Amino acid sequence: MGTYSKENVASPVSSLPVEILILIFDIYLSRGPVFEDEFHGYYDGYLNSRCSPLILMQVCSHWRAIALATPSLWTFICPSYNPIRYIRHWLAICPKYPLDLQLANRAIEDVPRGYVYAVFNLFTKEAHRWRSLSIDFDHDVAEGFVKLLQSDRTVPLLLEDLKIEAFQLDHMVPVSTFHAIAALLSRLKALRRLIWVDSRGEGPLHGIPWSQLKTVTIKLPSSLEDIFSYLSQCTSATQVEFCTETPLQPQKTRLPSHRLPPLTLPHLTSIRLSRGCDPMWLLQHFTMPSLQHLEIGVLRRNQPFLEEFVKRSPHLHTLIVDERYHEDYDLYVDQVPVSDHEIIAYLTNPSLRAIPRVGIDLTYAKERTLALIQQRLDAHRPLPPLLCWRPSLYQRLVGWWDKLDPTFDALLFSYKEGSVEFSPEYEFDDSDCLS
Amino acid sequence: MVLLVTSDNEQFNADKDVVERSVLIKNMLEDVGESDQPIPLPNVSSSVLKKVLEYCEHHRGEPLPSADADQSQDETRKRTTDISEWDQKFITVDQEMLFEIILAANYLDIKSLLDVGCKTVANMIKGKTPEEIRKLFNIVNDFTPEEEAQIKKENEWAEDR
Repeated sequence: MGTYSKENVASPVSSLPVEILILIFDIYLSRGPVFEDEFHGYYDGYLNSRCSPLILMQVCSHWRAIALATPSLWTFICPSYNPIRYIRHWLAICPKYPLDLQLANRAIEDVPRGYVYAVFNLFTKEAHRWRSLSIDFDHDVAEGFVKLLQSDRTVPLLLEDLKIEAFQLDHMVPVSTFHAIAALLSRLKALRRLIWVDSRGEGPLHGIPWSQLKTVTIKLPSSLEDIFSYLSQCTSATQVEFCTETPLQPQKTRLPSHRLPPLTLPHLTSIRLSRGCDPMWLLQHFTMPSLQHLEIGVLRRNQPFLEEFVKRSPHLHTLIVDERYHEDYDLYVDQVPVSDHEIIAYLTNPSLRAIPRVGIDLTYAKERTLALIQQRLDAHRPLPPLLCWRPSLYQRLVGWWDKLDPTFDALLFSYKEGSVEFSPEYEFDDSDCLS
Repeated sequence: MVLLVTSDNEQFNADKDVVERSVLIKNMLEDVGESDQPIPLPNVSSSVLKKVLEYCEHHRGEPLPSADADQSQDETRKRTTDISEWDQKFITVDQEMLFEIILAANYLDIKSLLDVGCKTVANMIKGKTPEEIRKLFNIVNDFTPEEEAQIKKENEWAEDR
């Protein structure tokens, strides 16, 4: 990348070596926290012509050489109604670097409808160097994506990360288009991470190359039988999340009556299963010997399934059980509220006590749990040490945790050796959310 | 206490837990074990070391980034240009000293100080035009006529918007 020309060696900035200048350029291009993106963390990466590598490369010949030779300055593109010519120019400057693209309708929703599609079309001309793509689909973009995947000439063979989100305000994407996309994903031979978010869509998703994926996040209403099928094929995955927020009809929370085979997922270290499909019933069929992190929601609990599963998971370090029960939920699903006996069983179970971090989400039963702890005091049957804390606005966990994170976790009360100690936060905790 | 000797032969005594914010010095102390021998710092002048020690003293006891911090943590660290109030005041120095602090932080391997320095420079150039950046750092426009022509062509995107 050379050095400064003789005219510029006198400048104090010329004392900085190239690697530090690159670090400064990288920081210069990083933007403040705006929204969370699974690929890039908190990131506001919109293209901004006033803060751009195109400016750095016009300062002097040395900076120009460094900027052109530093892929990290050029790979990430998230347009925000930038002129199409500007994006085209950016793409043309370094035509060999891989591209991490983010095309979010929600970020540019005030722009004319055709703009997003025009940018997408521009991106498709560079599909051969896509490395990651995070995209909100409207009808036109979704149809364009299907065509892209269908053609041997344009299929993005290097694409490793794909995040698809349905943008369903005005221009609904037909379910059949999503199913067509799912069926074509097996053409992406390099794909290792898939995030699929479509809270109003429907499964099943046929054709997804589950066995080649390392990381899977599916936020789509899915029956328990579908999730069993997806999960059983995630044989290479290390992290999996299946999230069904909308409660399903009871018949969709049952597994088929015929005998299902026992399955082992040897690489899985983290799994999150939200309670919409009542996933506790999956556990009896799976062994995950490398599992470290389990988050699971409950409609109809089966503590023996959980206990047996925990015994088969020797490396389990963190367990979170979502036992939030709210009577409104009963309108939709046949959930069974956790009983006093079951709360005590969670908190005293030796298999669970062997896990360093356990939090039972008893958001709507916190006061009841506190009363149970106090009853046990009177009955001279004290419980092991416990904590109750609030990791987020909508969660109240009871359990034990080797170290709470003061940035996120607010301790509400702790119980140890026969006495309950309340933290100042307890007074201010939103009681409507708790009882 | 640890004795440090700068490039201009000045000696500085500092607490071990202060100087160990430098990974370089920490490793040196671990290698030599208990010893009264001074540690030479041939790349750091006394005026710069004084500033560096002021920084380390202020941040004494704060957790250090772990050696095995993964790339994503590193990325997250880089992706904010926020600087704490104390650090901002500390780093309000002339350009020459700023770049020397950055170089010293890099040599001594003090990640957090290197971050503060680099973020400060990044913030200085944010929002500025190439000409303003040149003026800021006393950089001469050294492009050849061919490069100038190329830059002009590259800037055509901005015309006829």
